[in-house]
Amino acid sequence: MQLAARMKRRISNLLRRERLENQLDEELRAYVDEMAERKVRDGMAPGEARRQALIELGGLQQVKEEVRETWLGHGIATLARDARYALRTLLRRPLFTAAAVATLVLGIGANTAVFSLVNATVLKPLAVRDPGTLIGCYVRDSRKPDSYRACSYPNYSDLRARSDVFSHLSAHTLVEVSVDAGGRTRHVVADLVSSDYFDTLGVPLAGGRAFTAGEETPGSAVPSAIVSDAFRGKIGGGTGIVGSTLRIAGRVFTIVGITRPGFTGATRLLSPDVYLPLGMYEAVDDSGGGRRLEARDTRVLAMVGRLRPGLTREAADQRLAAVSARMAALDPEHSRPLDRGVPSDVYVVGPLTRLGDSIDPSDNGALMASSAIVLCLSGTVLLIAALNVAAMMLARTTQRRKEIAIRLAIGAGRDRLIAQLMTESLVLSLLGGIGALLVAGAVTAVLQQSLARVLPVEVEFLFSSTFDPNVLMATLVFCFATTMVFGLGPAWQLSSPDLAPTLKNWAQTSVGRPWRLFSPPNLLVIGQLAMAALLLTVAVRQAGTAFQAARVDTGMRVENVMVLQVDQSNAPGLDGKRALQIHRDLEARLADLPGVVSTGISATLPFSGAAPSVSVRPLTAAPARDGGSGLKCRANIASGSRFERSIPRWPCVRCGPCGARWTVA
Amino acid sequence: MPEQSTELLKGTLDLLILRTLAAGAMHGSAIADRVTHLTEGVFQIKAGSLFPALHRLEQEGWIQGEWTESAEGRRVRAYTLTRDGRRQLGTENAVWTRIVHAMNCVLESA
Repeated sequence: MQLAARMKRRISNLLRRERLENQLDEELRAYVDEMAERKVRDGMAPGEARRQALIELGGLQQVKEEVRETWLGHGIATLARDARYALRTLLRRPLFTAAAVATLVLGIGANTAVFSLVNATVLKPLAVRDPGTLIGCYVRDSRKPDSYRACSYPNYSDLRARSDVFSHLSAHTLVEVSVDAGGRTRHVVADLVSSDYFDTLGVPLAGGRAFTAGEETPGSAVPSAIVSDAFRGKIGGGTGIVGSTLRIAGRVFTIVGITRPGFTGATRLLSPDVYLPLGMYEAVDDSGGGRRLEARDTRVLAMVGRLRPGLTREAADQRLAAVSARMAALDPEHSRPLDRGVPSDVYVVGPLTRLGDSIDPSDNGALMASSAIVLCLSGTVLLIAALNVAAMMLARTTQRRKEIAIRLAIGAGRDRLIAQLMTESLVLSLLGGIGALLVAGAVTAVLQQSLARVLPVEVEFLFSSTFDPNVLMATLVFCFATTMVFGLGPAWQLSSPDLAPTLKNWAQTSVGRPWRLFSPPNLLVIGQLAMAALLLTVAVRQAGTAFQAARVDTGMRVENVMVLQVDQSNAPGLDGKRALQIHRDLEARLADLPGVVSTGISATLPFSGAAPSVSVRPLTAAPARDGGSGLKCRANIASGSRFERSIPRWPCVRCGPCGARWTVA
Repeated sequence: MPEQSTELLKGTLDLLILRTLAAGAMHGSAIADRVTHLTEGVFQIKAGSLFPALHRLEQEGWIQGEWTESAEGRRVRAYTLTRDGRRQLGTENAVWTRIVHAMNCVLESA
């Protein structure tokens, strides 16, 4: 029969179940009547004839059940009936149900929350055209093993010209900027991108235009910006926002485009709010200490591209090795070849790193490993929860013995009973699954809030979507897996035809006979305790490390320290001198407040993770011995009594936001 | 090997029912009687096999049940062969003939 016809019959069977049942009833009754009548004709007494006819039929209920099994859609109807029965059974024992569901909510919820994070980090494909063929191009530093560097703009530009390797190659770098729009200043993540960035990813803009080659040219400083759809929503503009202006890093930018909803660029986990052309690098990036993008030693770019059609990664790497040598020859100052003729910078291609802006392809491995570890840990939580519910189910076995015995006696098959008990378990874990989705949503929201509190920028995290199809599917899989773990064993035991002796055995033998230590209920408890001990140990170690880290004596006394943050980067007409004056005035006024003991100014807070990086070189060293750049280090710029006390004369420092050089007197 | 023989029986039962209904509409007990009569009492179809088989064939769309009155004035559900059923009968007939032929070839070779 055709599939469509079968489907039609299945639906009609489901809808007219009652009629089918009535017809079957009548058909079998007519059959028994006819058989009995024949026996009466042969001289049997009517009552006896009817009894004989029923015996020959071989059990009315069994025949009916066998007929029902031939009806299309019978499985669904049975499942629905079992589910209804299961719900009634569960509601009759509200305490048991509540305890089991609560256990499952915690177990499944932990896994859903962890999975939604892992999903956003490593599983979900980027919202770009053909994400599988997107590659990263990396700069391996051949002087050190497994060491990678960012790429400079001139080198990127040379690589992009190699059409025998790449069909597209774009470069970008993430920076923090302050954006004035919609009546307030937001500190957000911006992506400085090359002109072909959107083209490489294959995602057209929702409105406006992409950046031009002119806007990409280093130093061009054309104030154009493309905003993300999420950011457009935040500043409250419609599609007509193209052509309006934003103030970023003290300049007025014209919005030339809007990205599509859901577009996150090549990055995951967090999405840039604003895209700016690479030509704006010097104007918006204040961490570089005045480095210029056009210099070959300004290594700040990560590269994303697509290989020429038909070119394998291995072939691309071979061609790039030759390119690397040639590029080193062109630029002896910054890329000194080694003795054996291997250039210091070797360009290689590899899968795009999971976070999208990393310059080191091996970051992927660490990310995968930590994802696997947290999934294993949360999986253990689920296993403990499942075993706990299994123990509860087994404990209930004694209570349900009578019900099951009756059902076995009236002819229910063991497979039917197991199916029905498993349905009950499934209903239980689906209830747990629904709760888990809510709990996971709340947990990820709390996690994001706590992350947002410590991060110096406003970011849109991308792991919030509990209603992502992957996450829903995973939760469903967790439910089924849990059902198998906690449902199958008890269902098997409970449906056993010789249930009573089995139970008696357990009760007798688990006491006094040491070899029965490994009976099923004991194994459950042993397994649960072992896993709980494992998790507890891991958790205590983790917490201990965290507390220890928090208690490390940094030499600073942070009790009673209050922080006031000032962002002057967008204040119009503010030069370095004036900015410094404002800071000093502010500090003086704060110092005058009653209760204030001392005050100080610094560019960033210690340990905030946002310190600008500077290049340090001894004055006596010959220039450019090590390939151009000096020693990279993170620096903070500070003034005031707080720092004076520890370092009496702080020589020459630079004020981050305004760029003025000044000396603390 | 009891499972294999039931498997064979199931297929045979379908063919027997379809062939019997090719002669005209019949209800359950009449089909069983006719098969017993035609096979000279070798095959006696029990209700436990007959009704599931009838319903399975009806679900497949090969036969169609209708409520009518039997010759004895009893309200019964009589089954008729559908067009799909007639085609199925042809197919199963051919398969059966091939099996019989093949079995004979083996048995007569000794």
